[in-house]
Amino acid sequence: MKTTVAAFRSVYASRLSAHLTDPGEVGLHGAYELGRDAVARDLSVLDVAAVHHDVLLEEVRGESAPDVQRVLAGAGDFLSELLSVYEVVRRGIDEARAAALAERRSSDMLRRLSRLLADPSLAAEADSFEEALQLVAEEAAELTRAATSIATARLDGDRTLTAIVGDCPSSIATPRALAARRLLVAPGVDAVNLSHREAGEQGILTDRDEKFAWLAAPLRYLNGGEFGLLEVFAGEDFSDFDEAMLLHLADISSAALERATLYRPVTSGGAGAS
Amino acid sequence: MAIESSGDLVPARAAARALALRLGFSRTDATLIATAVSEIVRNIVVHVGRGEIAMHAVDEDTRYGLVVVARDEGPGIRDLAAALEHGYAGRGGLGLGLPGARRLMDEFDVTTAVDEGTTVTMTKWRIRDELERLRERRHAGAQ
Repeated sequence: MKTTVAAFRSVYASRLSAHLTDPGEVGLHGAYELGRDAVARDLSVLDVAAVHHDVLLEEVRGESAPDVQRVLAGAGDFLSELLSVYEVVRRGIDEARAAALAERRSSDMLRRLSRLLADPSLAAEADSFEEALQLVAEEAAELTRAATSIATARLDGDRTLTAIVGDCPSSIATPRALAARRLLVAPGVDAVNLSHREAGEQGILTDRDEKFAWLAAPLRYLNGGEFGLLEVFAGEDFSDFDEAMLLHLADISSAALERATLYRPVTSGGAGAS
Repeated sequence: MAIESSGDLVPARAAARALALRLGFSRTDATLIATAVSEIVRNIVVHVGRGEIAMHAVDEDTRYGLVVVARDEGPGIRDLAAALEHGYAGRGGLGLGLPGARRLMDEFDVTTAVDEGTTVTMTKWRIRDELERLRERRHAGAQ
């Protein structure tokens, strides 16, 4: 590495000197190319800073005050140009880190969904449909980091079961409010994701003080018929990723809940919801 | 501006920097714009050989924009998503080139067709503050 730094220092000194003698785009372009070279040679920003400092000390040695100012200004421009390449790399690292975090969150979500599928409460032998619905609502809140989640399902005889998780303004859980929101999910639509502003415009919440974003996905039988709705509410807008997760949860829990419904009369010894 | 060799990098950078400073971008932003232009021109020279680059200003109510359009009639980019994420050098690259330019600008768009060429359009924005707009309105009123 010492050899690499020494070689870099030599080129740096000669290009900076040329730039200070004749400042302009040619010199700045030389700095940019030097930056590319430094990144390719794996030199750190600290290596570059040390080289710049050394070379600059030599440049200003013996200069008069006005010349020192000129040299410092020119050398500053030269260094900025070189460091712009490191800025590109830094932004790339930020992007990669964000992608890695999203990937980790995605893996975590998929693990949770797998666990949910294996949960006995969602199995065909479930004694309690309500328990299964509650579990789905809990998972929805956790997967999307929502403040509130509501899962509703219509059973035989038009009876509707509702599972609520989290702090919930009473107004959003009334049968009327639930029915009004269900109308916002048009037939055939997989999910609806409304920001704060959009939710406010749609009158999702009747409590004026409560401002929530709203994300909802229908629960559907295998034949496509809807039998319920999975909704989450949060102080911050939901992302596309949240939407994908809720949609996935709605799909797998729909199948599990449908299975539970089919077996229900046998296991509970009677028809209808309990 | 025609791009035919690496010697065209300097005038392209100089034009981008001059326009950026004229539009009131900071020296740092002007440097980043010059670097983005360098990466795009370099791509044309290394991978296609020749092309052209043009720059213009956009004047909106609340912001100024510097738009750079680079075109070539080369073979096009077969895997655009990969080129935008990792560059032509693939996963082992330094993330310079196309992805590097994309990360330095606010908007970045690529249209490409195999055997027809590629057009890169990228924009950097600068917000006009209230005081600046007030001055401009006064200046316009005085004329």
